[in-house]
Amino acid sequence: MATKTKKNKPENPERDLQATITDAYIEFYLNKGKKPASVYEFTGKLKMEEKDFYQFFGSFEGLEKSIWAGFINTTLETLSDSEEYESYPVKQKLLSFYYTLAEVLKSKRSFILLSTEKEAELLKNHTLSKARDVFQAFVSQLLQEGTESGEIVKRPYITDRYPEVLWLQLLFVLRFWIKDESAGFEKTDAAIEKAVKVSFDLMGPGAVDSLIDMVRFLYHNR
Amino acid sequence: MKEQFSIPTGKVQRASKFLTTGVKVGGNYLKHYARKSINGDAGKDQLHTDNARDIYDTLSELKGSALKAAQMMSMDRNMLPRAYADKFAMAQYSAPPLSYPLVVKTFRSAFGKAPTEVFDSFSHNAVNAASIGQVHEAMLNGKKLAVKVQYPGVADSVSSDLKLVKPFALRIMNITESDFKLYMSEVEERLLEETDYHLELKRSVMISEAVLKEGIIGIFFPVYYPELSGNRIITMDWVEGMHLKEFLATGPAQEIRNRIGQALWDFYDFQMHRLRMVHADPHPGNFLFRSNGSLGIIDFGCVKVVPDDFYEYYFRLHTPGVLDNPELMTELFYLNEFISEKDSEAEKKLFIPLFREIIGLMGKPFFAGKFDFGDPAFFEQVYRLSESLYNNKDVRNSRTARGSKHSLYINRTYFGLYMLLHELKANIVTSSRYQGTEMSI
Repeated sequence: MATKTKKNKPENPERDLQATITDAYIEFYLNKGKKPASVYEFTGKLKMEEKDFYQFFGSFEGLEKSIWAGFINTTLETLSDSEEYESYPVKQKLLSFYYTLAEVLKSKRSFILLSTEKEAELLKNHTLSKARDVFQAFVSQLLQEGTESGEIVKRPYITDRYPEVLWLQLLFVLRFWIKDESAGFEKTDAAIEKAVKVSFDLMGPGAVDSLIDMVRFLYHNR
Repeated sequence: MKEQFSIPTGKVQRASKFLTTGVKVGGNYLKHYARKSINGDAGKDQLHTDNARDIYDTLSELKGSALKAAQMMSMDRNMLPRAYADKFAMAQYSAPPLSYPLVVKTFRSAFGKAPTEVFDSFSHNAVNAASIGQVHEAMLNGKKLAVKVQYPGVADSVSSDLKLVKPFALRIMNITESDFKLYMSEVEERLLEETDYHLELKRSVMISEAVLKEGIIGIFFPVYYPELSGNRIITMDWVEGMHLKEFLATGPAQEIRNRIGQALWDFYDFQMHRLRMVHADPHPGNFLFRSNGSLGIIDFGCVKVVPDDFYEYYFRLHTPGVLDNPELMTELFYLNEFISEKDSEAEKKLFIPLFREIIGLMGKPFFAGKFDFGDPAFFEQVYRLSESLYNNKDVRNSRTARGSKHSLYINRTYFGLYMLLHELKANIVTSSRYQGTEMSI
């Protein structure tokens, strides 16, 4: 993550410092198995001033939020680097997103396992709130693109919930990956294929529309 | 090719698939008895067809080893009533492709690059589906290549898949569970080997080079590229040629068909007797035919290594005259595990003549020296024999597995070979050029 940022924006020392703090935090967590006791102790070890930390993050929690959002951002950056990606249909774009995300997460797996083990509720609570915002902005764009290409059907009321449903799907994939013990996390790959297939089957034209049509008919005629 | 994403991988999902099949098969039996009570004489064929259709429908939605097991059973037609076999044969052509992003991911984990970075061009959709992988077309330096990509998690699911096939296979084969385990361990071993692309690459190179060096006429292979291959990827030359059905549709002359048939026979003769390991998957999808009478061989996923003692017993039995020498024949039946000391006298009385008949029939091409596989009478006899074995109550009630576990794939190989030669209607020389000659390694 850090190296990627450096490569893309070489003349931005602030982002460098932010990345350094983030990496140091993860390393601390991995070595000690827990958060640093205080920002003071942590910045002291980094030989920097406490206020440097607050320049970027309000607390360790804020830092963790930014780490998770960083996973999504790195994934999106990687995708936009790929020339092929733009030419994909929307469904393949979402698949690519997940496979890339799985790669991004792999390099930080220990940290993720450790931090989610400590706080079982982590995946539900607000640690992921920033990541969710970034992801939902991304899928909203995808959904619009899909509606234009006809891959996704616009349905009153329901369409607005899609970004949330897709976020739940991401949480499903994340939880599956955390528990996955197969070599190379191949089972997660299979889970991704299936989950995306189901979501696009539901969002695309077909059974759901027929069902809504019938329910509407019955509602008006009974 | 339409992409299908729904491969049930979870064990529960797969199990439920099989469960519905079980219910349907049960229903077919009910229908059968209903028909019987009305007509008095309902053809068992209809029942077999119904069962085969339902089992096939289930299997065709599965990937990996369940499909493989179906294919294997379909090759071993002598063990199955005809209707089952015909349906299973269809499974050889169906398996839905996986999404392109997953293919990209597979490439990234193997080479750290996307397929389009490795090759000059790469087809997004699979051009061909194999049972545990799919084939993409690629270009590199002006050369057309075939790139085989394995589905994720196949190796992991082999064992659980086989457990799921078990109730069906047990019912069809009707043997005791311990005997069944023996056969299944053999199948499992082969299937696991098949998911090992490193091994496949090694064997492909080894066998194709040995055959080319020997100079067997009319056989060609793609060149394999180890540097473009990995755990779940094999890259080889794109082989031009027709599939068997297309080839036959062009109405090739008898001479051409004989030439291809002879090449095929010699290819197996050489592998069996010289290499002592054979391409054990002779179904039509693994061969490409050319109008000039040559044959391309493209898939070494399933290779059976022939153990020395099995080789000796098997081919001593398939020697002319042995079946007319009761003492030697019986001894060889013991060695080939057709009968054992555990059998009662009555069982021996039942099975010795039966196996004499089976070997006499199935070994005909070996004994004859020259054989016309276009002769429909031979295959009618084979079917009639297998149907009568299937319908023989005494045989069915004996739940002992007969025949060494090695014979499973060897018989499948020869039977698949016979079927190919039959479709080709090839009239060829079948006496071995390599049997009894020194092994050269």
